[in-house]
Amino acid sequence: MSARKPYMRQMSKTSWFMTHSRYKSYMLHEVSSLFVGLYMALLIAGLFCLGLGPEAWASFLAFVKNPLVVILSLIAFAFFIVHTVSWFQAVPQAMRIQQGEHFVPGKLIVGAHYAVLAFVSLFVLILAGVA
Amino acid sequence: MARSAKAIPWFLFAAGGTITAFVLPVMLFVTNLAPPLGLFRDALSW
Repeated sequence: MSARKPYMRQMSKTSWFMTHSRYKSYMLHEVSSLFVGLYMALLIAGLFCLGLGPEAWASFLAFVKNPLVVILSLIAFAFFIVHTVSWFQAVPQAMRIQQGEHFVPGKLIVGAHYAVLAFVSLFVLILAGVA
Repeated sequence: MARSAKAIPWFLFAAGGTITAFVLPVMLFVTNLAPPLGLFRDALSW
């Protein structure tokens, strides 16, 4: 048996991420994946309902209108925004575009992402029936 | 420098996060928030 007694910093196993704002925002981003997974399961269930016929689709719409589901959807919406914002913030770290001697500034890359986000959102809304 | 052989898993991971970031907010609005608000009735009809 070794006589070593290495220093082990005291750290909570369940709330270590509350000790620093950077860890908190990291955890917030990671938790958003839970809601993405839940929403994906709901979307697949909705697709099956769509295939089963008008009654099944109506029951899916009724499920979506359930107050509890609406509250969960609002929370999920907030988490999706968190995911989008934090993902776009990380893009310049992963994507370095060189132009001649210099790199394209990160702000420009992030801005382009927001522009594409606006375009995609508008496109989906037009498909859904916004004038 | 040794090249990582993990490019494909990481590509899938990044692609998923990117698609999620661009598409999911508006998708959730159309499928989950529009029905209770009574929006997009034609698009959501069977």
